[in-house]
Amino acid sequence: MAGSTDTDTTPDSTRSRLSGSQIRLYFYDAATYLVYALAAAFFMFPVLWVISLSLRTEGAVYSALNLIPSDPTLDAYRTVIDSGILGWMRNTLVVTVVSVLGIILVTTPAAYAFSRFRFRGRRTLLLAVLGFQMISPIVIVLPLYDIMRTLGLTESHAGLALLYIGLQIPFSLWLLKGYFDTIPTALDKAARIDGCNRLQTLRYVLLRPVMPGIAVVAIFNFVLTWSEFVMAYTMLGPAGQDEYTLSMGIYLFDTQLATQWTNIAAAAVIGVVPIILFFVALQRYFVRGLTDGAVKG
Amino acid sequence: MAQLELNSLEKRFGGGDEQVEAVSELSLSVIDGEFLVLVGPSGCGKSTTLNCVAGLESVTDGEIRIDGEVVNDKRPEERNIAMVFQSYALYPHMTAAQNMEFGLKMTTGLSKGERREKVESTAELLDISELLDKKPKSLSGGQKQRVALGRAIVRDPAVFLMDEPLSNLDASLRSTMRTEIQQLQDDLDVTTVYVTHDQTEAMTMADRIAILYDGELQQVGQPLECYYRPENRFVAEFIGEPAMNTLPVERRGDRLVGSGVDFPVPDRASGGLSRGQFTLGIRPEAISLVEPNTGAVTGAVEVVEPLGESSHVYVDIGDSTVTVKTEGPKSVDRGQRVGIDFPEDRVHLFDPDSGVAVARRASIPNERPSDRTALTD
Amino acid sequence: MATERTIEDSSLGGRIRRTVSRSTVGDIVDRVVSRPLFWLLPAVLFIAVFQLYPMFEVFRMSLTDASQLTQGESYVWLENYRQLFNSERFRSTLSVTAIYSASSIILQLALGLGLAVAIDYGVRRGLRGPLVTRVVVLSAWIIPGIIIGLVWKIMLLETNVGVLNNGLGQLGLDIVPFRSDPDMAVISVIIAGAWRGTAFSMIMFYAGLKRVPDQLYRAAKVDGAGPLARFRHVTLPQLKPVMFVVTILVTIYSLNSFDLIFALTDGGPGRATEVIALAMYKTGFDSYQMGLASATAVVLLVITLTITAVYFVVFDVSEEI
Repeated sequence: MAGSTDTDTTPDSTRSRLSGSQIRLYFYDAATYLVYALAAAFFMFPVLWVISLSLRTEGAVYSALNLIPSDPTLDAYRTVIDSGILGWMRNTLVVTVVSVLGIILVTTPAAYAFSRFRFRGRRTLLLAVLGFQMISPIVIVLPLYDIMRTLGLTESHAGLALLYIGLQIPFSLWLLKGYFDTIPTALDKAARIDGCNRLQTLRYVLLRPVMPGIAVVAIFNFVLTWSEFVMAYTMLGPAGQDEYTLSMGIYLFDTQLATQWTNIAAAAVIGVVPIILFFVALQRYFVRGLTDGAVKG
Repeated sequence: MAQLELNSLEKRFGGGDEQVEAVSELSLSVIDGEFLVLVGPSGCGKSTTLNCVAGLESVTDGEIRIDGEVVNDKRPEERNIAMVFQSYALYPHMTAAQNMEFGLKMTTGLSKGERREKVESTAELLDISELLDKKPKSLSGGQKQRVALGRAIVRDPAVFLMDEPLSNLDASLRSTMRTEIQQLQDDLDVTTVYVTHDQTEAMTMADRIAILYDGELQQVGQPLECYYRPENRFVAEFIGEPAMNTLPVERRGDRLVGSGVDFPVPDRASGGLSRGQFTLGIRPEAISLVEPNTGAVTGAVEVVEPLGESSHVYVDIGDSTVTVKTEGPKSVDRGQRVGIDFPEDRVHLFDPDSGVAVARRASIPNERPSDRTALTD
Repeated sequence: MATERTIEDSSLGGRIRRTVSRSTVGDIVDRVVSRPLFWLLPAVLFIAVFQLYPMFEVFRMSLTDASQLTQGESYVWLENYRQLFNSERFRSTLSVTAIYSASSIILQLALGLGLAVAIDYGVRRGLRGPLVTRVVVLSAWIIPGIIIGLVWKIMLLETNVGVLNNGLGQLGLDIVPFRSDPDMAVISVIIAGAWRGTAFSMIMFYAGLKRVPDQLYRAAKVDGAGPLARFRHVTLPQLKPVMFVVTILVTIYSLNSFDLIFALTDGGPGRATEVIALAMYKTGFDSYQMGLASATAVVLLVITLTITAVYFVVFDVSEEI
């Protein structure tokens, strides 16, 4: 093997090679830091700029490039809050929480079944779920609107939450099934011996071990639902402004206040900050959901 | 205390043409307080059998009786059994005490205090009292094993079912736990069915062993009975370490001839042997090495594995290799020509097609002391 | 075989008051919960109502002249498709989508892989900064697409409010028509899309890189492979499964892009940035031509599935599934 000749190098050549590779390492380190800096600048600057804009007076928007406004004011926030953005945020929160709870409630038993039962059609059903996961909801937005209207679920937060549950099930189911699969079935057997039926097995024995998976599903869906626009815009569009979610409220805000950039910037900041804080606090789970779900899919 | 009976137990998986028979026509009875070991290679149906007894698998056909009562359609908790699993299967979010208590909580009307009392006394029995408040994650393999045993014992079942409970432990711990489980079973005197693929475990722990292969029962009997008087070639080769040597031979007059072997037909077999082809079986520990060209066959030593007290010698006799177990340190060298001698009374003959023994040892030698209470045949 | 013995009544067992004779109720519960359907029913219902049925419906509607304005509908069969493929608008939409998607896929995969390698390298070397970089990049991904559209709209304004034009102006350059020039608008949309989408491929690639065992790198080092050779011969082959998944998902996202473009350019100027999803939405909800819009949706779906199928062949994942 090449390995044996490789280790037989003299001390001299080792030393010179070491310093050579040391230099190379520094170079790579420096290049890496440069990548970090560029990435941070590219990905942070737009957000920082919008924050900066939101703190300016209407007159100061045309002026300097400096990020920190010379004469900061909260006027824009006042205007935005007066036009009801907090109500939209509340609507979004309600819809999101209800959707996430619903997704967990519907998906957990189904994921359990896919993981623990062997029944005819299981594979087909699983592949169908995977298939739906690959289809973008935008493709079916037209018939969805008809269905929602027929069911009387448009212009309703409850209806929108039901729709989100329906749209998010395939992904969540697939992800959660993966988590159930990591829990040994010996636990189910032990529970059975200990006198549990399947309901009790899930409740007393499997629920706790699968909790991290449920948390990932919840957090992931929280972010997705919070940010969702198309469905909300379509289903709640005809409703009054008070019923809007954050995304659609801010969008319509933009079309209405076309040139008051400080106000739009303030609205964007209000729309972005809570979800970013939520994300930064829980990003580990979020990243797990992203990678586990897609890799298993 | 209870007797467990399996009558023509059948278990098939799948449906239609893809049916797989896991257990076929298995009849077995385990008497009260007996320690029965189900042993066989993986996929032989031993775990499936155990799961059927436990009620974790439904039965396709046949009967399972516990204390005379057919339990085929009973739920596991109604069968009065408890089970120990290979991977311990402790509930990760519960403490050791909660793990042990859980079954009592689900299946009995005992009060919290009563349950706690039972858990504590069981823990004392197993010497795990200090571990009761710990979660499985912070327990060692041996400790987990004890808690898993405790979970079964605390239920006070009529039958213990153990599914390879020692195979996740390292070698030294395994032999300690082997003795300990035996001791416990002796003290508690609970009917036990123990599944393993390890023939050493089977030999050392069992009152009786039942050897399964391909879903079919090969032999049931005391360990030494199975060792000395195997009913077929599979049992002969499965029990015993190193495995029994087998050589194809042909009967010519009153001699057995084949691949260098030339051996007189054993007396006890001479009457029944009419057909020509046989498989001759001889255990490595029954063979003695002799001068070349004496004994049954002569060959060259291929490999010697010294184990200290004994050595394994592999002798090439032309068409096949014969394993010989010799006492003491290395006594022969590689390449050396040696003769091999088979004591006539330790030769087994099997039908080459069915594998059924046509000649085996007449009896278990008496001089071998056994600490197990001998069951009369 | 062993003879039967008389079974003595166990006093030990008797001491426990067993309540296992829960009999009928327990049996019924047991039987119900032993059926997979019991567990799957809610999920199956939701999928049927909100995914399966709409899927059939979009196909069916694409064969009709359904409209939001009139009540009735009649089957016109392939008329919508004929109309679609003969329309100038649809052809431009297709080419915009192709340009947007191809550029986005290449850009996002390349940037994502580069960032992932930088982050993985930093973590393995113990440098400071990988976590912060990761969080910053990912933040861009979780911001609602509609707000990303607005943020970039503000960034790219063609007055001094637009920070980019402001900066260029201070350098003495002319205003760049980021959103009003057709070609510039497409580029703007692609860049904003990459700002948002790179995070996804980055985090996926990073997860894939983390799974490459250190042993492989050490083995390659022993075999005399330099950093580039190691990347080429160890890292990339190990990343193949992830690459497959990321490529498929980024493709699906790009082809179906809607909200960001909706907010940033609304498909303009003219139809310069009108991707299929946008065209479909407008045909359905602004022009009320549900049949035609459904046909557009079906074409979008068919394109997505076809490209996915092509990936399956190109990546040759048959042995991995």
